[in-house]
Amino acid sequence: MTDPQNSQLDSAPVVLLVDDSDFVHRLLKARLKYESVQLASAYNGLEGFELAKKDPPDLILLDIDMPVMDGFETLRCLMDEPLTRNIPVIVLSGMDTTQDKVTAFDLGAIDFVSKPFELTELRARLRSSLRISSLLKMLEQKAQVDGLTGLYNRAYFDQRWIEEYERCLRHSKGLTVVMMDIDNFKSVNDSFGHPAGDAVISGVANLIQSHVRKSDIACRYGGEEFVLILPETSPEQALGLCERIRTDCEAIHWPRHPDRNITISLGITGCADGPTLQPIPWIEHADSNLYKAKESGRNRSVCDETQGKLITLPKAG
Amino acid sequence: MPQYDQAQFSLDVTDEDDVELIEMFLEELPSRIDTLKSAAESGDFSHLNRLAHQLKGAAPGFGFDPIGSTAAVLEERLKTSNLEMVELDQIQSEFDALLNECNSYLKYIDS
Repeated sequence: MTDPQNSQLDSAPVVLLVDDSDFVHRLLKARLKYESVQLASAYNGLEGFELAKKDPPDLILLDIDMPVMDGFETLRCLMDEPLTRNIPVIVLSGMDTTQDKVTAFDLGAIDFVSKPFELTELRARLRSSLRISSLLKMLEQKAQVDGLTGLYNRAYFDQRWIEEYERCLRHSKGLTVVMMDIDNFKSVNDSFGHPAGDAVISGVANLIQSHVRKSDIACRYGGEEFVLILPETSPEQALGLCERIRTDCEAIHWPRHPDRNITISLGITGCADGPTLQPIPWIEHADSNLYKAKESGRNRSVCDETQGKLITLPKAG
Repeated sequence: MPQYDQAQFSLDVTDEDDVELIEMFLEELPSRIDTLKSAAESGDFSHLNRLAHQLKGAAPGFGFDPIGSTAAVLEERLKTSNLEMVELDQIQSEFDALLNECNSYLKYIDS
């Protein structure tokens, strides 16, 4: 998920059926053809788990009594795996003692349907589970997005930064983080009022969003501070992007205060092939580069160079 | 199209979609019967248990409630037996009931 605004479901939900009986696959395929769902199939628990990881469906219908890996074990795997943890699972089973149901719910199933099942009931339960899970998805998204700017919020950044750091560590690829701050922001609020200040914050956020790629993660870090995570990007490549944002920002026309333009300062720290810093010191380092940008006159980007020499743009003079 | 006796089916034999499911199941019924027989004759009762379990779960959905319920009785009988120790004659009546039920539908298949 890269764009908080555009990740709503817009096509028919995918339902993965995990069952060893071919009868059940054929039955559901025939019976769900008028329902707006796409059916995917797996014939044992392991196959189902692998498929769910590779191509996460919107819902899983899971049989219990299966060869290779039974439904309870599959449910355990699905709940342990971050990629599949939030997929709702309806257990669909001929093993339906109270103990079986309790086990299924305790392992994380959202619902339980006994076999043989009534199709109208199964369809209703399918719809109900999809409804609940799309609401949960929406809540989760709201909890990740900053209300004023529509960028990701600080809480999301903290979690995502660790994930991207670990990915960078595993694959020894580039990763760059950019801390940025609106120059003399307090004076905008003081001179033109808080609504004008809010307009500046969301204006700068829109500018940032329009410059980053789909794979980049733009977050509001705090008041007038923003942070960018740029996966598979070296600091040198990031510097180009930062300079485009900085110069475009300088040129924005602000209707509420036409004579007062807005500038930003940026601190960049990154690597080209695997991290050299721990996650927290990494952020601190980007922050100290931002501080250097402020100290040396604002409206500039400060970036580490590989030989340990600092690059500052625009060049002085 | 063969004339289906509504009394034998738990789906609507006048509905096109329902009939499609009925025929889907009928098509596989002879080979299903063979598999049941060979599992029983070779004494592979855990296989027989699985087949009964699958029929219990699926047959009613295709309109074959009586097959589902006789399969459930057989599965229940096997579940309470030790699958390693069981003899065919101990489950003969439950097995025959399922087989008779299956056979009663063979008349709908063109030969």
